[in-house]
Amino acid sequence: MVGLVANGLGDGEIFLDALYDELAKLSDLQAPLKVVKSSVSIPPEPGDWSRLTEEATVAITGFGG
Amino acid sequence: MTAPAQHAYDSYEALVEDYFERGWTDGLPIMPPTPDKVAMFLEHAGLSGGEVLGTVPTREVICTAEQAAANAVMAGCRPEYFPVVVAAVRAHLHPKGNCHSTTGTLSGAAQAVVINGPIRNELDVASGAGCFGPGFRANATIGRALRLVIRNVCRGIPGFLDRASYSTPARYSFCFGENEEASDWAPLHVQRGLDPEQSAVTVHSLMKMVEATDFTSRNAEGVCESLVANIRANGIAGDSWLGEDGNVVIVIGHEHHRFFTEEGWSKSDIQQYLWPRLNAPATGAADRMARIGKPEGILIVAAGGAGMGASWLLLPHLALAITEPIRRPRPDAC
Repeated sequence: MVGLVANGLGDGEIFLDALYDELAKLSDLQAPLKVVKSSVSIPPEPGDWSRLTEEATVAITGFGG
Repeated sequence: MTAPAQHAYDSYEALVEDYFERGWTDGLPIMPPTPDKVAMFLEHAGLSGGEVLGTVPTREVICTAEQAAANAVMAGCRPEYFPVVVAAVRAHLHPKGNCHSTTGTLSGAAQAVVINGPIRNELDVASGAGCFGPGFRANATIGRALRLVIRNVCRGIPGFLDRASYSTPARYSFCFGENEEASDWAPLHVQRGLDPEQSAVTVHSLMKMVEATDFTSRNAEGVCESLVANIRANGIAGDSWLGEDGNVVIVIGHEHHRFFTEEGWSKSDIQQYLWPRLNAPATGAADRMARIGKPEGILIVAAGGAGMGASWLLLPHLALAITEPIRRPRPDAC
């Protein structure tokens, strides 16, 4: 499963969705595990962090705004 | 805990070059953190080397007193400065000090260390003319010690976990005292609940610092209006994680300060005047809301020298300003 971690800035969430769509064309992927952080500059909430580390094979994020 | 590695060098120059090579400095030469000097620093703070000063969970970092002492020696501190460095490290590593973000951010946030209480005069901490700049050993080395801890312990290394696009010279060192003798204003640490005789540091992570010049106002209200305009030109976004406790630090310069004191304005009066005006809705791109949850979140500090009609705005990054008492083991230790 692919994790998507959005920081909430700019069009980052739209970009990650589009990136996932492109990846899905290349491989048979499950629905993504998507996390939108509750605050721009802190790590994901503990529950989201656990889901990412336990369920996702790889997580994609970005930085910047 | 494993014993720290020891390295032997034929000369001071060889040591410095090796430290540069290993990436253990901020780009400037350091003082050698010899075991005896580290021990002396720990003694001045009454701490054992293994005492934990704070953690950065996201980086799996635990910062001990010994690590802080080694970096304080390297920064050029005197032993009697070390209790101040310890308090600054504790404040910065407070969970709401948000080391992870404020030292990793693209924005290159810096950490301002504000010193209050009797220790300012004991250590010759500058709070008057030139207090933001070079020339004052306590200011320079205490601020540098915190930054070396951030680099060498918390792994805030440019290009690694420090992702700043430009960074800032304030990241070499940014430390100053409040000029508590300038007026009868309650010092910052007293406003934050500490005793006047208790020395303290307040560490504030700032997104940017803005000089709020106003050469024309001749009264307290006029100065406040120019502060409001300058802060709102930048805006303060606020953040749900920080909630209602966010801060902005306003360093009131000498020429502005005197208008307040002449008219009998307290710090609280300034906070009450500024708060609703900062939180008023935006009217355009050049006039933005500055979200500060409470009047008390506006931290007023008196500092700077005479002559310049200016105050400074230390606009926050994603952290609270944390005030930490400076603890010393015995009166003759510092």
